[in-house]
Amino acid sequence: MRSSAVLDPSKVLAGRILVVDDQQANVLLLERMLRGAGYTSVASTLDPLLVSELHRKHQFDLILLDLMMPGMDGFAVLEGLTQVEKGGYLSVLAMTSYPAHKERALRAGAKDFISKPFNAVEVMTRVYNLLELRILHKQDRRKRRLSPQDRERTLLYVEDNAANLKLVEQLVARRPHLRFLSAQDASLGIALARAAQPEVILMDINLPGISGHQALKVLRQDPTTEHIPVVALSAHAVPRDIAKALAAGFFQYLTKPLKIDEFMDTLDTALAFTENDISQRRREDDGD
Amino acid sequence: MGIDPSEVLAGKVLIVDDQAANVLLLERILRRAGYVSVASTQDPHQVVELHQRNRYDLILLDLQMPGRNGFQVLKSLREVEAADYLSVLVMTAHPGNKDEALQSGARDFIAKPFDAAQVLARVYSMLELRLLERRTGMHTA
Repeated sequence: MRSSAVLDPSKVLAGRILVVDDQQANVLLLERMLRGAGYTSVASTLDPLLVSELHRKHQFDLILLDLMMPGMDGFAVLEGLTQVEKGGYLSVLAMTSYPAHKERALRAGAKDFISKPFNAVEVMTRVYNLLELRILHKQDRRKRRLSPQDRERTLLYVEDNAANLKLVEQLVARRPHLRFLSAQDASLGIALARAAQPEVILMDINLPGISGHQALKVLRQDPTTEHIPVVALSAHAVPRDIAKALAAGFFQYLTKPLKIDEFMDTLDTALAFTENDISQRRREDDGD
Repeated sequence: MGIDPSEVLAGKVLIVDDQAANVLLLERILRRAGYVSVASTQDPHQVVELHQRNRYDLILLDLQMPGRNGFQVLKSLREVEAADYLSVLVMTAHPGNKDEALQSGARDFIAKPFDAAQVLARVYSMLELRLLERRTGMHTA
């Protein structure tokens, strides 16, 4: 019917539509119009009380809502829907024969309206536009969720000392979207690193059993963990130990007691390093 | 939600109507709602050139103008925007014109006489759509 530069029409036609009207004849008419135009997912209800629950369950991309229904009018339904769709893009087309209701519906959260009696051209135009808008909003949100500043990241701390674990957990909580995982010994730490794929690992050097140095070697030899920056933490460090650790492949070496500013800076640097690494690998995957 | 209202209100809008009263009314409706970039012309012959120069995000186009009617303007706009996306809302008092205008590439229509709520709802949605399409286009490019 119309060419859009970006969105494939088949995506719009697959949008999930709900028709809400207490008059069976109106429902049938709209269903026939929509199906005839190629829309493949059209549901309907005659009962306004069910709308919020249906939307919660099915997350419709468009709701065609009659404003005058017995029992519960369209405005009350709209109010319920804005609660369900908090934070998202609520896509409601109000259907009314009263001009005064149009403005009220728009103020209550409807995105547009169609006049009764229905005009096929008007219905099809509004339905298409709003579906496209809702689908683009959804895509946009998905992309933002994946963007570096919002994506959830994970930090793994391998440490046997409870006081240190607690302190670092509190420091990590200062960074939004950063999940804290911990392991009390190196073998558990290695297993968690493989399973959770953290963006950064903090590693105590003097662990019981397998040492931090040995753990690093294992992580570096495993293709699933070799890219993760590992920051060493240790209480007893002379410059020679530090040089040795950096040469072995630790990302950075921090001494205890931790200096908070230095710790936060190191954390941010390591996370940025991972971020660059990810986007570089993504670019290579895309072939440019 | 995804789109910041200030981004929508900064959208570049052109009003095309041969009647000064209509232009003034629409300008007032849009400016009062917070739109900061609203231009207008009463001369349909200028639309294509203005658009090529200013790349409007939305054009509100009257269909019935002397000299050169809205359909002819729409056709020329499509020719210069052949590869890109054209965002035009046509304004008409004649229900019969809607069909033809939509087939000629308009995105939606606004009924005359103007109702502020209707104008604002449709203008906002169209600009939002434009912003999202541009953003998506950039992402996939």
